[in-house]
Amino acid sequence: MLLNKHFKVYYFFIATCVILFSPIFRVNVYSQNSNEDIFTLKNRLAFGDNLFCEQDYLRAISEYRLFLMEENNDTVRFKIAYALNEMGKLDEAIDNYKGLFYNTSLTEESRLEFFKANFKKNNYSGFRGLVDQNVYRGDNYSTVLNKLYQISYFLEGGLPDSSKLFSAFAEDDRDMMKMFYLKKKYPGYVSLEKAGILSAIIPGLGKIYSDETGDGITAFLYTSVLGFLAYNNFINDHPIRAWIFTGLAGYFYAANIYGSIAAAQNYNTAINFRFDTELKLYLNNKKYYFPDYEFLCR
Amino acid sequence: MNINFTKVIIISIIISSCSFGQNDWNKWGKAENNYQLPVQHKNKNTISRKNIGLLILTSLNTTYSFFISELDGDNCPFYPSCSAFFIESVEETNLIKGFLMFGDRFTRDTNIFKRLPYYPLHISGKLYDPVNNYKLDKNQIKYYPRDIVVK
Amino acid sequence: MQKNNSVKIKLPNNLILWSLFLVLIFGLKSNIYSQDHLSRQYEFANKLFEQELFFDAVTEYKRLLYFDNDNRYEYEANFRTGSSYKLGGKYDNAIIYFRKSELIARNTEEIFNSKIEIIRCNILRKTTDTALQLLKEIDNDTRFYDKKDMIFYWQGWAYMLADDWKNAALSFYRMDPGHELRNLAWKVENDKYSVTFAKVISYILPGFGQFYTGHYLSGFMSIGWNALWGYLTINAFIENRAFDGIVIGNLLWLRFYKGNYENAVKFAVDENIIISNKALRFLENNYDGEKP
Repeated sequence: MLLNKHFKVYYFFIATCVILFSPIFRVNVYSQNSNEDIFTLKNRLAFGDNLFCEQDYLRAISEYRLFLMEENNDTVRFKIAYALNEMGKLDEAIDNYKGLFYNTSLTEESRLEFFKANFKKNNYSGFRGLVDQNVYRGDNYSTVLNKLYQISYFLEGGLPDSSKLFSAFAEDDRDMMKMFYLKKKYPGYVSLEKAGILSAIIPGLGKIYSDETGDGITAFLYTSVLGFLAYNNFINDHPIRAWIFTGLAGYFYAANIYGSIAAAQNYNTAINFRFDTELKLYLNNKKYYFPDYEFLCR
Repeated sequence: MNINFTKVIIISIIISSCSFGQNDWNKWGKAENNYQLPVQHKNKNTISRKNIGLLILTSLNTTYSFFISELDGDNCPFYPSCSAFFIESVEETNLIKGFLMFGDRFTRDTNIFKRLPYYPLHISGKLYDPVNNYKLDKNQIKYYPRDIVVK
Repeated sequence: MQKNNSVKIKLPNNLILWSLFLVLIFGLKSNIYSQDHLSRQYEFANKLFEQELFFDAVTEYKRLLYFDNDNRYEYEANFRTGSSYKLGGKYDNAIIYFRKSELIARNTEEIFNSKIEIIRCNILRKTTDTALQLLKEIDNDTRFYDKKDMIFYWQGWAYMLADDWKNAALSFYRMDPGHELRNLAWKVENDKYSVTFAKVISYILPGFGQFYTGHYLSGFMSIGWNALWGYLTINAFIENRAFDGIVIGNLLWLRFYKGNYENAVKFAVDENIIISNKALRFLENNYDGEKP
């Protein structure tokens, strides 16, 4: 009797051990509560949005792309394109924006951002060409595009039409645009020919005219001292030395004319650079006249 | 109304440095240990065999630097040193233009007046004065704001 | 008969007991084998870290931190994110995350580990002043009185990577007088050339500064030039051609004399850098101890 009872105990003990360590039951009992799994679509989207707001764009894009493999969402596609734009990958951003042009809820915004990416590419005549083709334009936001269109003339392509330029902007901007227009129309360039001729008359004068006073005085000193030494040696009957000094004086004279022209060119390039930087800074401050999107993290 | 120029430069530097601060916009991997101190690069005077003129010039330049230039100290305040400037200008344009550019560079080198604000600073500590700015070719001139350091 | 009756009565009790026992076992088993989603994520991120896929490891640690509402893994995840950035060479980001982990550390040990990691990042990105200042702060902190050895060790490393081998040798000596790194630092300090000596001797004897650092050809040429122009200048003064003397002296002799001591200093500095880099290469590749 006792033996039987013990046997039952042992049986149950062995049975429970077998059940405990058998792999079949392990799978069933493994708790997988689907609401808590952090790789669900909803959670992926939430994490992706968090990364986007932190400006961790590469990681945000990979999360969004994994999300889009299972479910389509226009805002997510727009955010991918926006992130690519912010990272500087403009061509990829443009392709992604194009994908949102038709049959989506963000068609206007994506068209606008498409033009912004093209503007940033620094190919302003290309930008104007795209704007002129009516295919890509949306219905809204035409004032923004018109402003950028007029401003793009400043950066490449000469001078915009003044009436079109001023009519594109509101009262408070018109003064700034007037300033830029006048700066572009009367840049204050230095004439290359004038610099060369001035240097031919008085060595160094062309450089002083191009705003390099110290260099101009030095050039004058070289030519005049060497010329004086040549004259001195001719008078004192040292022909070899005299010709050497003459040669050197002539060399420095020619070099001075060349240098004046080069200095004038550098001066003009500096004017262009400063104008471009000022204009781009102004545009950045105005955020390129683009609206803020509520659905983006700001 | 007029935007202050220095403010323009400072803000553009800040904008550009912010964009470089985001290092996670490109994927990176494990980095190797790097404890060593940076070594100053020595100018290697190579003898160019492109044509006979350049051959003569570069051999003369090597001789000059061996016997004279390496022994009389650091006299040129500019980054492409005057002899290197000369060789490069002859390589990129022709001999006459190269001579004229060298004459102009020599004048600027011996300029005793204040020249610091006219040139940007190079990373080696000297003033940056490249050949491209003097070739009389408008498209090749690159203007650098005066208070940045060129790499 | 009685036996059967007793068994019949007992069986239902046994059955209930055993079924209760089985339920308990299954319930416990579900606790033993079920893994929380967060701890699974933590293990996954750790696996990526061990496989040295640091960029992806950072992504997964960030994901863990985002979903960890109870802040169970906050210290470890921040610490490991910092470590991933450090091993990938991104020291600025690493310091940000180590600071976060320091702020939420739960005990002195964790605070100390975070602080030391910040110091190591500062050493690696060559901002030695910050590293030394932080080490001084830890030194004065009474909570870490038993960690002096580690503090001296990292102080020595900070000095080594900043090319200050004398102070590095001192720091290692205070930790352990016979330490391998102390001997290395002392050897480097002794091997180095004295820049001041090279400069002074080339003022007195032109060309000898270059001899001191082993650049014999340059030294001889310097002597030659200086002798030539010196002779010509003095000759011009003796023959009363003062103007010529001044011109030659200024334009030529002074130039080569200046070049002579500039070269002496330059060669001494370059040779010192070569010596330092040799030791630093040893530390990079062949040293077995703990590196920053």
